[in-house]
Amino acid sequence: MISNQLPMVKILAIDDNNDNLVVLRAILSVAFPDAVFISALSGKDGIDKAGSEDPDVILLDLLMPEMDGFETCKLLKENHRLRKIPVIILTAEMPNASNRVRALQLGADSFLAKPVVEAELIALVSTMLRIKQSEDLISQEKQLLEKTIVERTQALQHQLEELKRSDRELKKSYETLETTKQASLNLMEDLKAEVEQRKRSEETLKESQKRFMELSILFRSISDNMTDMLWAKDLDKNFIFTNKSVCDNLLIAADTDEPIGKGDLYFAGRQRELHPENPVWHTFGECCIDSDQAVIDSGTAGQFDEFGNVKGKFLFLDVRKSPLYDLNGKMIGTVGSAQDSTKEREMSKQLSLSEQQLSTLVSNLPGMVYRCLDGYDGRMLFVSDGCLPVTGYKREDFIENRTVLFNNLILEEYREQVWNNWQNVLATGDMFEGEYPIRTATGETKWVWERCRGIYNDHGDVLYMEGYIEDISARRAAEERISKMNDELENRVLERTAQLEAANKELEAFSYSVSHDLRAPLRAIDGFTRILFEDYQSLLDAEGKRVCGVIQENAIRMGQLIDDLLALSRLNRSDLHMVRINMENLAKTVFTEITNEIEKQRTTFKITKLQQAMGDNVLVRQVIVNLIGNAIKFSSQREHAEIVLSSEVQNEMVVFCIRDNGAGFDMKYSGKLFGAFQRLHSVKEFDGTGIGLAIVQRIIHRHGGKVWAEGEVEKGAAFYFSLPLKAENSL
Amino acid sequence: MKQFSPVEILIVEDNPHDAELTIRALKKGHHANNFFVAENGEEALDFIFSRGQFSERDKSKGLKIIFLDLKLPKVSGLEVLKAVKGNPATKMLPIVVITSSKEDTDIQEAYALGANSYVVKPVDFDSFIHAISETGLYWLTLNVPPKVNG
Repeated sequence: MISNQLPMVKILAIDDNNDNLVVLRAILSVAFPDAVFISALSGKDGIDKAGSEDPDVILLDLLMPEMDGFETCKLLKENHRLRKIPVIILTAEMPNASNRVRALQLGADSFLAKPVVEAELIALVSTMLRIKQSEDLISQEKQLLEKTIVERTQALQHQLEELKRSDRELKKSYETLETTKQASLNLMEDLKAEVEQRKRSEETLKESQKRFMELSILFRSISDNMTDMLWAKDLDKNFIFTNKSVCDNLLIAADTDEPIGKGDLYFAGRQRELHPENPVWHTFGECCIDSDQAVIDSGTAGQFDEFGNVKGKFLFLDVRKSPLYDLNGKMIGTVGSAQDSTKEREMSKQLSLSEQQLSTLVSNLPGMVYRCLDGYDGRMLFVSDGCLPVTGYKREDFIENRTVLFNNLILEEYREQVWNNWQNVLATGDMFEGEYPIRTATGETKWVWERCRGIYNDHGDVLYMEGYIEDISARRAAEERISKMNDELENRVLERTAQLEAANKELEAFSYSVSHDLRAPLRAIDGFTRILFEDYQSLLDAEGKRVCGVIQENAIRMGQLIDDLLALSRLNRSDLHMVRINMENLAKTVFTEITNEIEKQRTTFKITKLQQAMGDNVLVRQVIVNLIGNAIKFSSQREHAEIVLSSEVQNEMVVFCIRDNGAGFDMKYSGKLFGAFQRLHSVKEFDGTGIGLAIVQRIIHRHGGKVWAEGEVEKGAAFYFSLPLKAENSL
Repeated sequence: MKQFSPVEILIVEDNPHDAELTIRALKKGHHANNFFVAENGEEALDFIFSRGQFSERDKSKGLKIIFLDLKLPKVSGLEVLKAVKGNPATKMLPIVVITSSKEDTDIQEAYALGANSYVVKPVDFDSFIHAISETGLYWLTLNVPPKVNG
């Protein structure tokens, strides 16, 4: 039997029905005689007893008041200590699936339906007990094992601690050992380095000595190659160093070593002894010592002009001296250098002299002469004293643009234009010449005239601008006055012209009246005298008839005079219509027209080839008519008349000549020939009004030509007139 | 003046002496005998266009030529010329300008207005007679005038 094999067990039965408990105890006490049977009448009681009695299996009724089987089971299984006790649920009937699941989820281990089948109960309890025993056993073994592990772990931990401790000690010993070793090594290194150092120092020293020698040579070479003089002296003013130049040019020493330890006066004395006859052979020396003392006393560097004669020649030195210190900063002497500026001195003297001369010359000019650099605010390098009267500013104000910039004096509205003009001139290399107004120091506006140009170097770059500026206010004022006077004159001319034109008009109206009205009475005189003569012939004797003739003759002559006068006055009024005139054809035509047959027969009319000329056809024709007419008239008393026409070109004018062999004239009256109403012959000799030549002269003058005559009494006359050869010369 | 036969020649001249000399010159040339002398431009126009005191005159008859002086009182000769030559009914009437003026402007203007001849009165009577009779001969005898309607 199973029961025999089981050790003593405790069985807890929980049921509200005591009868059921009795039955269960009865059944189980038979099956498990060694078992202790514990009863509990409620869930709560059951849980308490489970805690105190530690049962091996619990039989739990499901239906109980207050706390039912589910609740009880839940609480049991939630208890950590009690959860491993198997719980068998006893129910009146087999619970449904959901209740079973619920019970199992709560931790119930099995179910048993009531009324209980004895064998089943025993078998189930046995099984549960076995499971419980197995679990207890496992739990005991596990506890044992855990205990062993803890003991082992503690032992191992202990061993580890031990090991760690000994390791630490080992490490500490090692470190000590290591430190000791490093110290030894360092000591060795130091020793080695010191040896190296010593070796290097020796090398450096050698190198330094070599370098020093090289530098000495270099310094000596450079020093001796210089034209400037170089030296160093101790506090006793004796040389400790000299270069070749100072030895050759000032001290006249044998070499650069000779002066060492000696002073300036030693060498000066030696030179003076060489030429005792010449007190100014060598005057240098003392001044050098004086300046040395000055540097030593002040302890500062200085510049000195030292001059005097060396070997009879003037020497001017630009000297610089400064104290010489040793490494500890203690003054041990002086160093010096000197530049021979004799030539520069000479040149600058010459230059200042010539500048002074130039300045005197320039100061005689009424305006200002200047030189400045390019650019709007180009530096003013030179300006003459003339700037004061022109601008009211002094030279010093302009020089270097100290207080005044000349460009700013130009009135603002002109400034840009003047500036642009300057720039153009600089660009082209031309000369600028212009006038513009400036504002002077006193605020007065003045007009100035300027002429300037750029000065360029070989590359064509502008070096500076040079120019001359003069005050032209007075001239401008005079010009303005003249221009004003011109305007007034112009106005007066216009006024006069208008007056003249009006007068001309009046004259025209007058001559019109003359031409019309003056002739009518004459016509009546002539006409009615004629009627008298014709109709009353029988009543007139010879004298009466002659008187009628005289009346008619004079009336006709008066008419001719009026016509000629009108023709003369018309000349001034008509416009010229300049055309090219074929003078040859014109003369031939005129001759043919104005001569009658008798005249033609006794006249030789010769024309050499005539040049064409410019003129008004109608007026020139009038000239030809008058002159040929005159020639015919004045040669009418010749048995054979000869008229010759010729021409030649003189200074763009064609000179025509009409020559006849007629009565001629006395040259002393030639001035009267061309005057209106001037006649050299009586009417009895030659008919005429004295207007013809006046008309000729006026026409030729209007053409810009000249007219003149040559003649001799009874030997003929020659009349010359000139006309323009080309159109552009016409008036 | 004889008014019974139609006037063939109208002389417009304010100077009676010149008028007389003109008539004498025409007579010497044996030209037609019927003259009328108008002493100013206005009278001349009245005559030509049968107006005012000449309203009785038969326009269709007779007038063959006008001798016209330029310098006239009231209406000037150039104005008369303009009126006659500007009217279609009279523009074919020959007009000889006879004047003392030798001014170019007068000559040009007269021709521009349609004058048929321009004669400058010479002082010399012989020349005057010659000029008038020559012109008269041409216009009264040789010239064939176009037919004028009305």
